[in-house]
Amino acid sequence: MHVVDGVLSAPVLAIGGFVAVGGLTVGLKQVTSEKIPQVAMLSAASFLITLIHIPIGPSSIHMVLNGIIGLLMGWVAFPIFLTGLLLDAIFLGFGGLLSLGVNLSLMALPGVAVHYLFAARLNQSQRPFLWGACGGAVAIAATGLLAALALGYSSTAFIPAAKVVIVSHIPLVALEAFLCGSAIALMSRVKPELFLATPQLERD
Amino acid sequence: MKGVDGRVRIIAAVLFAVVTTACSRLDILTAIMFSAVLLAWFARLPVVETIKKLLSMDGFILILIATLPFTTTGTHWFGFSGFTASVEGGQLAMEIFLTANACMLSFLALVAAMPHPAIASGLRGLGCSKNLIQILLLTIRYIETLRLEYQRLRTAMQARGFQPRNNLHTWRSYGYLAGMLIVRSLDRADRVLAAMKCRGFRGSFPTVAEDAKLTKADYVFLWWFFLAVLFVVVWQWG
Amino acid sequence: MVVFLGCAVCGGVAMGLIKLTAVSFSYIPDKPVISGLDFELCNAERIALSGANGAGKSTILKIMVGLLQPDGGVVEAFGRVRTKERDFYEVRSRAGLLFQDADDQLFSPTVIEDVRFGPLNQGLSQTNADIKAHQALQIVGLSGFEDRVAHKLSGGEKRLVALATVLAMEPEVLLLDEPTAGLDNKTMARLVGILEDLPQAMVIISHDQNFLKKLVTRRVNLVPT
Ligand SMILES: Nc1ncnc2c1ncn2[C@@H]1O[C@H](COP(=O)(O)OP(=O)(O)OP(=O)(O)O)[C@@H](O)[C@H]1O
Ligand SMILES: [Mg+2]
Repeated sequence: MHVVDGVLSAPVLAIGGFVAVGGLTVGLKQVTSEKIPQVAMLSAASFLITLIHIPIGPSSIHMVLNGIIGLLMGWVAFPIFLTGLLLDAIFLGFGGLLSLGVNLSLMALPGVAVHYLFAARLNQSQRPFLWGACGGAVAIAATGLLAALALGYSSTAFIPAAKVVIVSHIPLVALEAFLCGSAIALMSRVKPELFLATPQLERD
Repeated sequence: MKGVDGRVRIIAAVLFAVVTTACSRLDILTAIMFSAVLLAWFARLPVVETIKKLLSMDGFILILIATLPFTTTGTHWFGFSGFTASVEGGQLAMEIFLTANACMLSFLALVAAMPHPAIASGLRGLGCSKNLIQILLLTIRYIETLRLEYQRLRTAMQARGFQPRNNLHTWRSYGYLAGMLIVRSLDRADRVLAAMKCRGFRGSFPTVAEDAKLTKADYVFLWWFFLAVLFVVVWQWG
Repeated sequence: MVVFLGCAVCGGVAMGLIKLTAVSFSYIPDKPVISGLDFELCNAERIALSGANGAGKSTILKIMVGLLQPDGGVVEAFGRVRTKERDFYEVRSRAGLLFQDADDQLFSPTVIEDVRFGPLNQGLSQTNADIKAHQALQIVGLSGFEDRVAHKLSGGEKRLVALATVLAMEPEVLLLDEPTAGLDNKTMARLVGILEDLPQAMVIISHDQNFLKKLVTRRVNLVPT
């Protein structure tokens, strides 16, 4: 999700910045120096995966992935997506400096929510596809709703555009659910230790 | 502009974005857009590539810009088949368009054009968390390595006749591809951590290179930049 | 896998650098990769460690530097028994492990930063670390590569820089995991030349008999039980 500079109102930018700083503080506290390579590799992987275009109907979309990252990493989703957004801006020219906080919150906060909702259920579950799909669907749906809220709350003139965002998110939710479900199903088969009893990815 | 310190350039980019976002007059925004183009020229941004980046960003605001003239009430501008566009809506759309493009162009010129380690050390100089800087540096380091890994997986799929279509098989395959990339990146993280331990890593990165003192070039740049900002502020609100 | 690998060269007289006694290890419980392994590396030896794919060669090197903890047996290095993670800090700077994939080892933005990472961790000042780094790059014949971006090097250059990162720590032992994989004949000849001139004791894993013939003093074969 990329909202560019110049669209959102000052209060919305401030709220986004506030949430982002809070999330980053919590997230970075969980990143011990031993975990730095892991966080960096996940940032790089998620940046790459979002560049893959997947055909749907006459058009194509890309995965948002905040469900998977949220399920795996919880609050650490904040530093991971911050890195991703910085790379988007540096390499691709997406996003904006002032909207960074809002964009980060839009992506990472649903990831954290999904972590609390589904991570414990996913661990050692016989149905990784189901919980992966739930995580993916809820995360991207929440992202779309938050984006629409941010737009609508910024100016009443944006409300129609906000509605378009919501409507255009519906097919994305279905596809992201299926993709996340498949991805988690594969991961739980080839690397089952990712989904052991501990609710958060912890390895030594 | 090449010799200007990373910290200075990052601060300048933030200041540019703040002022531009706060501005609402179209004539001033046009002047700001012009100065962003100047910055891009000073930074020697590649023309075609930069325009491509701006256009792809404009794709994100297309919905907004296209709907605003019709959804904002005000003086009649033009209309067709039941839809009427207002002058105020058109102005609002133009304002967003100029702000977004000027901000992004100045960011590309001021920040993105720096070598990546310079961006990182600039952020560190501005008090960014040390772990975050390490994450950023490692991420940039491994993007190309992981991209090659992705390419290998992709080639392996194609070699077995995979063609993206609109069906469940395609989407499942993409899901597997993403899952596999994540698994491989986590495995690599383990190996990199092991390699770091083998070289004496015990939990903290050795700090090198203190931040350089700001040079004369930095101060000259800063003064010009502040003058320009002041000029815009007086023009808009004075 | 049971192998007995007594040291024929020193026969226990010269100092054993690394000694494994009755070591066993499994990644997955009840599926041992190594069991009852005895192994000794003595001064100035260059041992070829061979065995089928999946026999556990890389695993053994990781056990030697404490990246993996054995389920049973004793790991001795430089005259002391090593058990805990802390014990291995010293081992890792005295026994340099060259990884199978050089990309895992080169994680810094530029070559020089990568090569001096080890010396800095050993507590050297920046100036001294830089001197060590330059020396190491000179040994592998890559002087002038200091400011190159690590991930934009060719495969062979990466391998040699990775070797330099190990050498910069001035280890007494080199543990080389398939150092020739992916190298062309010319680079391989260069690597042989570099390794021949080094004084360190080595354990070399390689499937390349030609390469091994030129270097090693003793061969150790892992045989499945
Ligand atoms: N992280 C791991 N988790 C589970 N099993 C593993 C892991 N790493 C290695 N193994 C298994 O342990 C065995 C030994 O692996 P190892 O890498 O030591 O073999 P190797 O002798 O180095 O083989 P190669 O010549 O192919 O490099 C293999 O059967 C491998 O499948
Ligand atoms: Mg091996």
